[in-house]
Amino acid sequence: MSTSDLDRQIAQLRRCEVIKESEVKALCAKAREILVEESNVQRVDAPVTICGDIHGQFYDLKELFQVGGDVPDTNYLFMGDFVDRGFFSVETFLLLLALKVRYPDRITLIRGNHESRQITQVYGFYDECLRKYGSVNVWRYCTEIFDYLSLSALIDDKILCVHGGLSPAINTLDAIRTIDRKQEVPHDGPMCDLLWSDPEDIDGWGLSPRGAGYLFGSDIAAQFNQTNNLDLICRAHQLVMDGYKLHFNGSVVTVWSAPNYCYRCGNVAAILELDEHLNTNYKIFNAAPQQENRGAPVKKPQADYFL
Amino acid sequence: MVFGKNTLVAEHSASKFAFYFNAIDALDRVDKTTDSVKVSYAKEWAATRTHSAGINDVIKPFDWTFSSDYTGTLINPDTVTITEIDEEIDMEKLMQRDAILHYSDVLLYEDELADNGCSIMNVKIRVMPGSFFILLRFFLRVDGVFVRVNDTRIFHEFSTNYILREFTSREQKFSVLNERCAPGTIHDLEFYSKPQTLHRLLDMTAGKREKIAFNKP
Repeated sequence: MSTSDLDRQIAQLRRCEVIKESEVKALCAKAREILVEESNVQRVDAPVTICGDIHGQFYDLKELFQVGGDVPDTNYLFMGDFVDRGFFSVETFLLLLALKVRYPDRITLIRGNHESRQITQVYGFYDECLRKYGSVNVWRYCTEIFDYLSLSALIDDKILCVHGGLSPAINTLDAIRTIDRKQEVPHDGPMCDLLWSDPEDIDGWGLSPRGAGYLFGSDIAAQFNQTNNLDLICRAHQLVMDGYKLHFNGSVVTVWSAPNYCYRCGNVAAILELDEHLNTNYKIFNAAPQQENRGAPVKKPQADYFL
Repeated sequence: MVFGKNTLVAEHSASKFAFYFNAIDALDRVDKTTDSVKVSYAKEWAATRTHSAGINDVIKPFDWTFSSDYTGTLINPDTVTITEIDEEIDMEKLMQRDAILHYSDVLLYEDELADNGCSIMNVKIRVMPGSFFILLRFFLRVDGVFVRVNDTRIFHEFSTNYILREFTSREQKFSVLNERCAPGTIHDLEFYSKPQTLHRLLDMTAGKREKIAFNKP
């Protein structure tokens, strides 16, 4: 695959047009070569702009690039959940992946809990691939790539970025480094926790009332940051109405980058810009104008004879 | 997601009696102290957690499915007399294709249950030349576990001086649903997400019929 081919595909994807199945296959093969070399704790240099969940909201991702600057001018780190829920998971993930292949040092993609075979079969990506390509091949290529995505990123040794949060089985960054990540997201174990756990106003660790998943308190975050000489844990995973939310006196932050989530939640989105000194600047943005959100549901529902 | 500013109000202009539907009152009826439902893989998840034996507590248990038996808030309830009755809402009347003069579908709250299904409460109204009909519905799907539908139906014919209100709670385990209908794959989520088609497969667990009569004609 030549650079000009790749540039053409990127241009096509930027217009929200899908690329051919054969091109997806080649793109994924190329991406795999790059991602397989990445560490579970991928090192990233500031300045960098950190982004949270996108969930297939393609036109809002374009809005994000408007606000934060384009690749490769801006160095980006996306904390997973590229797919599901929105109407353009295919175009969204393939654009990010193509940018990764074209500019591997200017964009970092880490895995979210939706980058999984099981979850995507329930929440939209599988169906979307089937609808747009007429077969599940593209879904297969993409989910194979999901297994190669890194689990976390470390910015200038000071800021850890991970999709969900901490795990009681992980006290050090080295413990993350030893995980064999090239697999479907398991239902249990430290890899699952990194992609699923949430901060909560409790002391120590707690179990989710749902019966699966951990909640971690401020003391846990403080201890982890101290042990690993970190300033901040940056995560995504949970919708926050203001786009970002600081927890525990600023030792943890949630960044959410899907404005008007699911085209109806009414939230704003945020990205976190870190300059070369790791100074933080949160940029807030709104959803792309409605007329550009092709495929989004119309507001007024049709009257029906419900019973 | 709570749609706290969304409301539906149906007011009787003479008495000022009204049904007032809002998310806060609906959520107030959610159990805030127990967490009776567990996700499908909870046992599997807990069984492998030997490394963290010290962590056994749910710190803030609550009904994370946000199940609510809310039937609407009544404004000026002293202007009416409420009695339990056997009379059912005449569905034949509701199946007539009378013109719909006004229609609205108002979302009160919804939750993704951290990707374990969905929980949603909405209220719909349609106003016809001779009557109005309201359906307040709580729909819950815990993937691989069970489905629950709490419906409140409110029907009033303008020629009468009373309103009928019916509440039903229905649920069914996935295992039974899978038995009672052939397809059982995960791709049939759409099937499991449509209360109207699931209806005949669910068992009724609670129900109440009421007549709300205006004290002054």
